[in-house]
Amino acid sequence: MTAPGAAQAPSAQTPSAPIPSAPIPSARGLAWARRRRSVGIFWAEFRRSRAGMIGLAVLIVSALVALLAPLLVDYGDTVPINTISNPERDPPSFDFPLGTDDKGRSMIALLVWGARTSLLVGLVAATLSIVIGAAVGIAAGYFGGWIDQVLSRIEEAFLVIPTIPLAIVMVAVLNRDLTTIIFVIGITSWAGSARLIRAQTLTVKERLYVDRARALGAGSWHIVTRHLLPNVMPIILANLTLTVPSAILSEATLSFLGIGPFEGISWGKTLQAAATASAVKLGNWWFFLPAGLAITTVVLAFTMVGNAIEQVLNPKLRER
Amino acid sequence: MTGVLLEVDDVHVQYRQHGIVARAVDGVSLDVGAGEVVALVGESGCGKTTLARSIMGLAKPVSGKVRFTGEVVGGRRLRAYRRKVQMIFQDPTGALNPRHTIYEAVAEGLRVHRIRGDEPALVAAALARCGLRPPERFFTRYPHEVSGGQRQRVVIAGAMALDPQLLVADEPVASLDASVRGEILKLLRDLVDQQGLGLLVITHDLGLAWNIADRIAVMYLGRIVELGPCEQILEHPRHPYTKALLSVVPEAKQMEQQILVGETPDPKLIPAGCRFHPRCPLVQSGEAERLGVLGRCQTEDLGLVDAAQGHAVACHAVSAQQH
Amino acid sequence: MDLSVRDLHVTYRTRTGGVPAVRGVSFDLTWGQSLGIAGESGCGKSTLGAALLRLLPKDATVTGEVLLNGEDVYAMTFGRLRAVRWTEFAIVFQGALHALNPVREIGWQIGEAIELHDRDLGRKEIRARISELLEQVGLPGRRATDYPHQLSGGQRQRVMIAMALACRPHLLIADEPTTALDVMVQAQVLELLQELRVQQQLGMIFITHDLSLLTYVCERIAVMYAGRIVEEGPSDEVFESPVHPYSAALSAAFPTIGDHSSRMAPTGLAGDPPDPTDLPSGCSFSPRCPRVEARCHEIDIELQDAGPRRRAACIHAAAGVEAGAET
Repeated sequence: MTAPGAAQAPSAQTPSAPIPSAPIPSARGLAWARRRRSVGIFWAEFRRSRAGMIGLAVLIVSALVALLAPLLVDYGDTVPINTISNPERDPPSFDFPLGTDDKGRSMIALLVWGARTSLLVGLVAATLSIVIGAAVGIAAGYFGGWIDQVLSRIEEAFLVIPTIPLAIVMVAVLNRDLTTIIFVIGITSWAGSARLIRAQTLTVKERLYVDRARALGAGSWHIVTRHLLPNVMPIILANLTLTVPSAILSEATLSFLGIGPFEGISWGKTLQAAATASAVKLGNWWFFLPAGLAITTVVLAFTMVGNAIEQVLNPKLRER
Repeated sequence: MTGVLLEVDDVHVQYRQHGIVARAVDGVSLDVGAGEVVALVGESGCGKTTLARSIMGLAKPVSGKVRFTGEVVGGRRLRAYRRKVQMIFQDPTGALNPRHTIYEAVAEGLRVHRIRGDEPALVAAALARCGLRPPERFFTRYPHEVSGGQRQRVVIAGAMALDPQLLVADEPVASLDASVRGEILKLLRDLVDQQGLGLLVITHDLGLAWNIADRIAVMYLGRIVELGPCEQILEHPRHPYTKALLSVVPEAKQMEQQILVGETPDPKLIPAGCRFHPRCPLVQSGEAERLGVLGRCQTEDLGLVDAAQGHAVACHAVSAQQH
Repeated sequence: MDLSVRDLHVTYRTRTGGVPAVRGVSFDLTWGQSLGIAGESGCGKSTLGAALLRLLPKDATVTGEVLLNGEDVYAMTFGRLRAVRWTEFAIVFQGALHALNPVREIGWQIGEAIELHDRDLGRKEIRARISELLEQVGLPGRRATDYPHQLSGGQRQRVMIAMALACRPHLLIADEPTTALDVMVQAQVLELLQELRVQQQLGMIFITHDLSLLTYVCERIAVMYAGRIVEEGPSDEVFESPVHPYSAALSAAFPTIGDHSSRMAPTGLAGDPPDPTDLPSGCSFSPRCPRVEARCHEIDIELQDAGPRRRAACIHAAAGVEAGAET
């Protein structure tokens, strides 16, 4: 293999992005080089969106708070029995920067530990929802025919039935495990993604490079994994940033209605506790405001990041 | 290597539009041998792209058979067939997945067929063979980062990586700049001459056929109306459609222009009798009547009839004049 | 009555700097004459066409003069420009299929052009004129009530031509009018353009990448490369005995059927059409030129005389004339 000299340009236009000039030894190495380059280009574009960066910062902070919860606040502080000696319904003070609830628990403790549950449920439920949605959407779009008909009808059914009442019914029938709640939220909200993904699959399926893949001898598996999925991914990614906040809100709603996860703390449960303790009537704003704001901020952050991602992906798609 | 590779045997391909059947390919028989270039020429709507797709197994014929080295194409043998027969597409930009690098585009065929061996070396060899040198420089590039001509070379390299025996090229240079066309055509002709490939080129461009084809088949409304050695047909056309087509092509030496009236009819409404007769200059000038074949032109459908020297024509007037 | 273009430069302003699309083009055209402009993607021919009618987007900087009957199009007030557009010169666009409004009848669209310029005409007169125009382009008048999707590609192109002729212009600019059409339909449209040109004494500028077409329709050809005219002269002379190596390559890309030297001998140029943002030093064709010499990389040559009524921007052109003058 000749050493590629910098002076000898191949018979081509000067490339717009820097090309690694050392010979690439293996196929795997090439794949990773490509991924690194892709991510680099994506990140450079993403950084230019101020809203996106702010959103990302908020999300990183929230994720850190959730992950580092045990280090920040002792779990014991959230258990009512341990806090009997604390002042109840105390407004923010030096000892308790965000005040206490009606059981003497520090609001900060509730907020920090609530982040764990809310974000976890949000993320996992959203992922579940998207996985189901993608599987159904791609299957319906790719295979067409009666498979499409059957799956589309099921999808329509789930779309039409309102998510929260359906979730309520399911929780009533099943139990209130954390896992069950995640499952319920995931399974009631996949239909929206499925619809979008199906539409995108239909478009990509008609593209010439799919024909070429078939002409090369590719079967369905290769076409779906190597051509469809990568082209459907942008939609999935952008959709994820909408689905996660939606799942967080669903959990908050269920918890607020009193049928959220049985154990543990979540922002929604905190709001429910606040409602039960008549916090609004009594003016105990530190009781419900932090959790409410937390939910809103996280949801907003996701939306900002989602918008930024769409902005990055769209001009790229157009350019290509 | 000699011998017939591809046999298209009375193939009919149809599709439905608004409930009406369109006979896109209406009885076509054609051979392509190793080491030869056959050009299939015709205007849009004549069915040539549909025929190409049915040869590639992307569209199913409603009757008739496609045979490759004697065996019928289809069913279980389709996958193996796809290693030996490859397609070059009209739009090289659309034919390459914009998210895959050039390396991945060329390696795709190798991966699909699980071909063992040093993959980067095979990819490099294919790229170099198709004029992209040094090949390693192109490995990490994306299709939108190279020019149109180079993209087409990538598509050809992707096909050649599988070491096929036959190439089907659908308008390989139509969307490329004029100055780049010659190089791509030269590449294709070299592959045929040096590696004994068969090449079926689908095009509307008679000049392209003149440039690289050994034999030519002229297609009109789903059927081949003239077939034979390229030089012979382009210099001494016999079917009135071929004559008219040649007369309006700017590249032909100044012939008297015969501009046909109207536009190519719809494959949903194929005329009775000879499908060309409503636009045929011989009918309109009265020549057909003079020869006594007008009635047959209007009522009798016909296929290719062999004339001399391997030159076959589907025309009542020509057949009449031979006797 | 004529069009005179003097040293026209068009540069597009982008984030990363200026992109020169047209770099000093000059030519003359009298009404009744036809000029063909041939070139490939990126050579600036479409930009040139739009520039003549001052139809370029705001981010394009234009210098030089476009003199229509002595009046500079770029010095006109907007009101005068609007009055002159379509009545003096009109343009038939590339990709006519997308230039027509899909939700309006074609008669209405032709009428729109007429109404914009002649407010005194009554409805009946407009309708009569629309019929007249449709007949002129070979379509029956009753098709005025059809929608674009009801017409074929060739018919839509005819409608575009009818629209362009609506106000009886003296100059017609046709930008790739037959590119998406079949050979036979293309011949029909070209025949129509020829007839109209002769009947109405139109000046015509025909822009295309297909050099061989121009020998049919135009008396003179100008070949463009990288924003400049590199050769101009009578069309059959330029096509058959080109002086500039690029014109030679372009001409060879459309082999003459019956010419055995091109049988089994496809010829093309190495490399790719130039990137306007990254032009080489010296002659812009030098990286691809089969007859390149050392000085080609240093001096960027202007159009030189290369015979009677012919010019070419190549050192070999000048040498040819000198050699001819000496003998």
